[in-house]
Amino acid sequence: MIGLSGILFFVAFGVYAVSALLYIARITLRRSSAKNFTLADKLGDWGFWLCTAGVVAQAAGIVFRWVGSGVVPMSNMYEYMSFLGWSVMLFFVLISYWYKLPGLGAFVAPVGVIMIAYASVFPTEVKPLVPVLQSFWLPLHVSTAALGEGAFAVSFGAALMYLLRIRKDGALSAFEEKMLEFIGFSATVLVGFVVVALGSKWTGYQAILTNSGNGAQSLKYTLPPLVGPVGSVAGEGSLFGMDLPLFIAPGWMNGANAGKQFNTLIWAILVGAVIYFILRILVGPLRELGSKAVMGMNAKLLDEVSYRGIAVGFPLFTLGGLVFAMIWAQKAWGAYWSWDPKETWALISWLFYSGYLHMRIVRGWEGRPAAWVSAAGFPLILFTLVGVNLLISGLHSYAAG
Amino acid sequence: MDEQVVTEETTAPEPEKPSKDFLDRTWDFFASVPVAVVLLFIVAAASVAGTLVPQEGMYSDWRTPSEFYPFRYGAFWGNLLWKTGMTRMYTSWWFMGLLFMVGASLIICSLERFIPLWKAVQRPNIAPPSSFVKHLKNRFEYKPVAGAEALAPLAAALKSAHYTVVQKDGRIYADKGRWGRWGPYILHIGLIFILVGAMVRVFPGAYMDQFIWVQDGEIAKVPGANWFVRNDKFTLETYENGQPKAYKTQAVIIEADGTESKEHTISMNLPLQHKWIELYQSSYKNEVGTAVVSLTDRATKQQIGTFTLDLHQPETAYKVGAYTVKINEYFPDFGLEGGKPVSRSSQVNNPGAVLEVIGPDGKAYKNWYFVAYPEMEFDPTTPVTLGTEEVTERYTTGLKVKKDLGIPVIWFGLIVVSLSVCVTFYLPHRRYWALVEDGRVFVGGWTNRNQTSFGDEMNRLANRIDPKNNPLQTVVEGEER
Repeated sequence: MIGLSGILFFVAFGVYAVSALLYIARITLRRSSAKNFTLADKLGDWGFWLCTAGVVAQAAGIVFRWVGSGVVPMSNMYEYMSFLGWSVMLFFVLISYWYKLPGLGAFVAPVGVIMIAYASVFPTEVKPLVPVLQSFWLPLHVSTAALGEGAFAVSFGAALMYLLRIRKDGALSAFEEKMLEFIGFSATVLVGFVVVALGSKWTGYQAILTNSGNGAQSLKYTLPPLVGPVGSVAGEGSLFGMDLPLFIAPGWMNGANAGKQFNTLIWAILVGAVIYFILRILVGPLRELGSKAVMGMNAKLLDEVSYRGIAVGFPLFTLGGLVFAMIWAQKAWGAYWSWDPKETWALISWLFYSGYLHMRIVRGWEGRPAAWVSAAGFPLILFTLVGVNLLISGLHSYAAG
Repeated sequence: MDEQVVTEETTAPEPEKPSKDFLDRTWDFFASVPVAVVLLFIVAAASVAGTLVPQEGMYSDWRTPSEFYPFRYGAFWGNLLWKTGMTRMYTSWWFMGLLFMVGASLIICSLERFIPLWKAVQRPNIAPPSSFVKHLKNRFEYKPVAGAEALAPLAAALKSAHYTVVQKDGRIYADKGRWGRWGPYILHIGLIFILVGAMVRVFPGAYMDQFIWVQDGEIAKVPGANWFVRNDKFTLETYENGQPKAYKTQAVIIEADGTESKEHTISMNLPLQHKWIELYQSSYKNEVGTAVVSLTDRATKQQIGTFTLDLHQPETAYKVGAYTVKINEYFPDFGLEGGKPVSRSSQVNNPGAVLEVIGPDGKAYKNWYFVAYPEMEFDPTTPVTLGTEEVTERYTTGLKVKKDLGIPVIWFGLIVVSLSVCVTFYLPHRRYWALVEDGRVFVGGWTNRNQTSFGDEMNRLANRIDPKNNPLQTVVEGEER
């Protein structure tokens, strides 16, 4: 069963990747000539059906993993990230069905692909649950929160598309143009991060470095150590015969794994920058590329999709991220709220999105300001999900493995 | 306050437009949605700060807060953070003040809008001016079939779509999903319940957070209660790979009069609840419990007998056959300080004792005995040697004792929030107005959520009544051709 689940997961990944390519091909065809519209529409339809099939296959994979192992498949980073990827794809399929907007696929489907690729970086074996996680609140809390986050991701995609769409009308200031390009660059850094993580997993690179700072006496790096922890010596790692580390992490970074995480960040930025500059040379600024992709799309509809994502995601996130979380915390820790970093960041995201909804519903905020707020909301969610685990520890730290 | 109102009004320069007094201005301030959003934003920003500065009791360092923060951030910043309460932010007066302002904003915003909304929803204007209906964003018109009642097909169509239809003086008013309009207000009430529930703890006796250690087989008084808890057995289960699988305490509640009123196995996620107090499995420790001590004749190497020494509360003397073993001194955690034997703690870490063995002949011999090192003798000439046959382990369970009378209020608030947040976003309020003019029926519609699917519904409705004038629209095209 677990083997079958792995196969289904892989199939879903392949199918998503193909549909992402179909969606991108569709947009490229449409831009090339009006004669190609029929074929382009066909590609869009195939993309949609493939995505739907992928969502069904992955759902079956999740169920099989659960049944086969008897352990809720939402207890480690592999399971969680792939579930999040699934929920992004699910909301994409639903929103494509509600609104005929296949153009969204060229933006959202690659995000799902990247998330699932990132999930596969983590160890995939089923691990038994530690006592605190043995509760039916685990699947309830995690799945509902992840579904809400998936809807927020779709909203983020639509908001970006909206901004790319209206910038051709000269609606954006020079600063906003820079921000859009920066978002594009950040996306390539995220891709770089996934590439680096996959590369490290496939090559199996390892280096042991001395650490005289906080934490263990030696740190195992799975990436070539450009930056070593305090106390490490050049030559402890190497890459193509070059002695590493080149630098030592600055002293103010005093987390136990700070040097290692800083090293990963530098690698992600390096690889991301390489991807970015290749793209820049080949196709010009990313925002121009994006604008070309969304050319001719209905801006009003994009704005509505962006709102809809939040309107659907907010109740789910409220239930999963706060209500279920509080009930479970009371049962497990005897405290429904302890200002744990993860809890606090979930509350911060929730407050942020409630601010958005108030401004939108009561004050009639639409269009550009709303799109920027939605665009700012998703990085917040990403930080709550991943950043808090990596940078700030707390009661939620068992999710790291 | 009343006085203030009077003076403000009498001294106002323009009596027809009385200037607002402090209370009115405060009210208006909290009634404003942008102010509410700014407040939410400030709370969010402050919370961010609270996750970046390690909070008191959360950092892993042996220093006290007054030493730790200057050490971590330098004298100036460290003291500043500590003095302003940034280091215990979520309980600081200013964070509480912010939350209080959010609460005020929640209540006042809701009150301010509740009554006008109540009127608009529950007593709608059934016959608004025809220009209103004709200028609604969602609208259509149809030509009634000659001779038939003009509004009848619309009324029938709306009824079959589960609308509440009011027909009066040649007008139609229909709506559904009224609850959707109340959603946000009910949601706010739920949030107020949660804030109130969190404040309940300020009342004396309403809140307690304690911790007790209970050894296997022992009874402990539950703090803040007049009853006791007995730990029959603590079990630690592990998976094959050694990872912990379950921590369980078989607990029995004993009332003040000695009756056993409840039995429950406490484990993670399954606390024991009794009379508003909950006991949570929170920790455990593993200590030696008893030692089986043997007496052996030094000359013949013949074992004389054994006795079981309770290492937590040893008795003063044990009988072994014709021998008596008296415990003269006992050190559960033996150590030497200034050349003198002491017990470093009350924990049974390295039990040692001065024993006096009295033989059948009445002669007494004193000797040291260490449970972990029985071969260490101070007097190797006694006729009897002591040995450790077996040491049993004893678990001590760590239970968190929690009382919070605010919990039911919080739970109620959470239920209200959960239901109303779904109602708010998934139950749109949809309204239709219709009137007959110049032999045509004009229909206008309005909804508070999800315009696209409402437009879709209206289009299908119009098509059903009058397909000729209202062709089915293909769904909104997202992209130009």
